[in-house]
Amino acid sequence: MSTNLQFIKSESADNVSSFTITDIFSDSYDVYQVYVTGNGSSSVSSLAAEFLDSGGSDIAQGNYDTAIRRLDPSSTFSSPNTESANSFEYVYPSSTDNDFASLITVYNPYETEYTFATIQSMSNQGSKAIAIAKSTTSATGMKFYANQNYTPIVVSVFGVK
Amino acid sequence: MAGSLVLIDSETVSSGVPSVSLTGVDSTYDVYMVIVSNLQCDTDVEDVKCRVTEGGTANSTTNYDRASKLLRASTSFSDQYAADETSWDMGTNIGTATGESSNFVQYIFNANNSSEYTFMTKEVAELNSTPELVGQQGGGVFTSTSTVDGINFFMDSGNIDSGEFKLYGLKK
Repeated sequence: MSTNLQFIKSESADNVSSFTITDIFSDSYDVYQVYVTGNGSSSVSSLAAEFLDSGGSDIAQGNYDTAIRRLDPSSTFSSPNTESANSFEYVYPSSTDNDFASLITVYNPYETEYTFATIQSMSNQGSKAIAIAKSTTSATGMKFYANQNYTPIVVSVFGVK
Repeated sequence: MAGSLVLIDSETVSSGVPSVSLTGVDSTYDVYMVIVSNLQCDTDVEDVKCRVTEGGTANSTTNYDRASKLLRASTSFSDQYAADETSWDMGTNIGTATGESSNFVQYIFNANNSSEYTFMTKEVAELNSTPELVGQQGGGVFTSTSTVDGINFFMDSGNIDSGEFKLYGLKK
């Protein structure tokens, strides 16, 4: 019996300040699971991402909203939120040289609807988060930003059929 | 294939229906996953609800407990919890304007095991009627040791106008 969690693409890079993965969203699926692991290198606070159209442009510049519950093993939890931002936080390695892992579930990226995401991530802090790209432009890729360099970053994308 | 995700039931809604049921939960799998995308409704400021089904019929007894953190993009977060309700809450104050919809993943545990309660976890992202990005991270329990065979989604009032509803089994 075939699986309905279908592998689309996995790519990686090392010593890059940003990383783009293209041709991951299409009309084949409504929902995707994007797994991101790596290390954000030195002096990292939050790591952010955005959705790209087929020409490589951000689909929602200035139109990302997020709400995040940060789960800190050594302190009171915090709840940052933002509206009308240029990207959305997907993990929070709050200090130097912390590895991280994140699962971003993406809804409707290719459809002419707003793109939503639910996010679960862990570094030296965990987080549960939601995000929206208030744009009806079809997204086909994603771009991940580091405050300095990713050393490395690995992105694997699956479609939920 | 180990660890496969197996599609069991799916429903596509493109015009108003009072509820959507996904069926096919049985003893084949221990854990089931529901994914709902682009759920839109026809009545403003209503909640998305769900119930388990038994023998294909939604159970509306007061056996639903839930607890979650309500994440909000424009104001402080809050705790949402309730016990002994007649359904689980899966979305809050959904609107009818363009772009307002609910999207979520739900995992269901022990559903078909008549010796255990049925548990679920949820992660929800929606644009509500404000419009504001709102979400839930939490879960619930159905405090009955019954044999659950599916799940039923409906609005507090009015119809579900659109959405993709899918039920998967996690193959061992």
